[in-house]
Amino acid sequence: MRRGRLMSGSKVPNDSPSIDACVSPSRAPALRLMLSAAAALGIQDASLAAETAEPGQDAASAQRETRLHYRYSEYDEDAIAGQVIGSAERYFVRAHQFQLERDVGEQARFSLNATQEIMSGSSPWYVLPANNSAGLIQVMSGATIRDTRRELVATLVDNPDAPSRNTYSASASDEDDYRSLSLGYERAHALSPQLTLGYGLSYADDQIDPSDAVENGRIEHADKQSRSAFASLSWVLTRSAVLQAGVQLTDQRGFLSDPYKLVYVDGDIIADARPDQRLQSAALIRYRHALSKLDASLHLDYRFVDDDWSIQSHMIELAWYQSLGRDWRLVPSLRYYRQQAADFYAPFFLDPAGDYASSDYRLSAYGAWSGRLNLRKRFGAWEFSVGAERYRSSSAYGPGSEQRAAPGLVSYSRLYAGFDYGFD
Amino acid sequence: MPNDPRPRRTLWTALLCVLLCGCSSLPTVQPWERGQLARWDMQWQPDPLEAAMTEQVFFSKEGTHGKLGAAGGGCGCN
Repeated sequence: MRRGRLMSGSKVPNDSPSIDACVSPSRAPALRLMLSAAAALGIQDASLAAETAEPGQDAASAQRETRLHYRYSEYDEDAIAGQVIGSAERYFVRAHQFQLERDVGEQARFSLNATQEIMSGSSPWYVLPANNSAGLIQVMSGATIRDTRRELVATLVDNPDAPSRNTYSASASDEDDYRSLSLGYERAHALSPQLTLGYGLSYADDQIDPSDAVENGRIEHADKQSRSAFASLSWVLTRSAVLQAGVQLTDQRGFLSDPYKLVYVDGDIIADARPDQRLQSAALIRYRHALSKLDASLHLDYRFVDDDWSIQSHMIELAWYQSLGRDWRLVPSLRYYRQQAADFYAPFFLDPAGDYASSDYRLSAYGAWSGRLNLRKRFGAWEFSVGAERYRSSSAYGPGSEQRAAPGLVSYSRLYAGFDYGFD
Repeated sequence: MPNDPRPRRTLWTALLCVLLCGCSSLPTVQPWERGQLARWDMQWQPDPLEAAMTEQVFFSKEGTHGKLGAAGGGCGCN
């Protein structure tokens, strides 16, 4: 799981004299939140900004010293269509997410995230050419997979409400066949009242011990390491718009194949084989625009990724945050993603392949549309959230040819609910 | 078959231009004019837990990923 964020701050110490000295007690908690949000956006001298913020635009729990967040979600993949050998039923995942945030004095904020995911279902294994040459046959994993993934992430932010601050993170995750440890560092540095520089580094070490390795001829143990670096600039463009642009480089080395996938090559079924190194470059732009007359804001995110496996991808996401009165919020969003295929991908290989070959649908050329709707309601220090998401991927949405289309492309539905709560 | 490098060159050049433009002067927005920017819904990521879950799903099910933040470890998701 990818973790670690620079801009998650949402709290200012309760005893901040600069606020309490200049505003009425009833508005002080809300203004503390505004200060924090302003700091997260790289806004210096945020106390003045907070005084002018509209009431009712804060998160319900944010003015408290300790915040507790919880989400429960159910992720359900559509049954696979077309010709299938094995169970057509795919993954179903129940996930619990907890987050505890606590201010440690005025100079630091500590948060602990715990996630548990309980997974069951079948997964695409390999693809066979159909006898009539008119299609593909997707072979699914023989037995229903059952696994539980647990992850713990600890994050410490120093000077969380200052324009310049450091974030340190560490995470560990565990599955039956997979363990991961990672460390991360991020820095936000105010260059001017209008401009904030962000940068950071992270390192992850993953250990893979595939299930039933001997019986199925899989590798018995493998590992991989990931190093990542990013840099960004955030601008205050106008009194209602901010823009962030940046790049991220990720270098992965080690066993990057999928030990559970096979591929049809020249009449044989062999193990999925990918290069043991991958360099991925990403460019990202994020734009936020407040529309005070509509009591709403527009979020626009774009990402371009290019890697040395010949995959290029584009992602664009549009979200609309609409306040409905003082306590309700509605957030619809729409996302489009498309990618080209890896140069060693094909659903199957009728002739001998090179050193590398994979029929993993995630390496094929395809596109995906997804839409999400989130409804939130505040009750004092509580805020409840429910949401639904629909994701649909297809080669027809992407740049690839139908002949190299992957029959295992995933579509899913997801429902979630939870709360945010703050106390002193 | 390698991809045509021209589109990626164009995109990287465009991004560089955006970054360089950002270093030029912008009209100063005074602190007392920044109330709207301080709102909850103007944060880069207003709901971090929901963002973490969608990020995990996309990381598991799509061929590429990337973010402006420290990356974490991987998973055995397939």
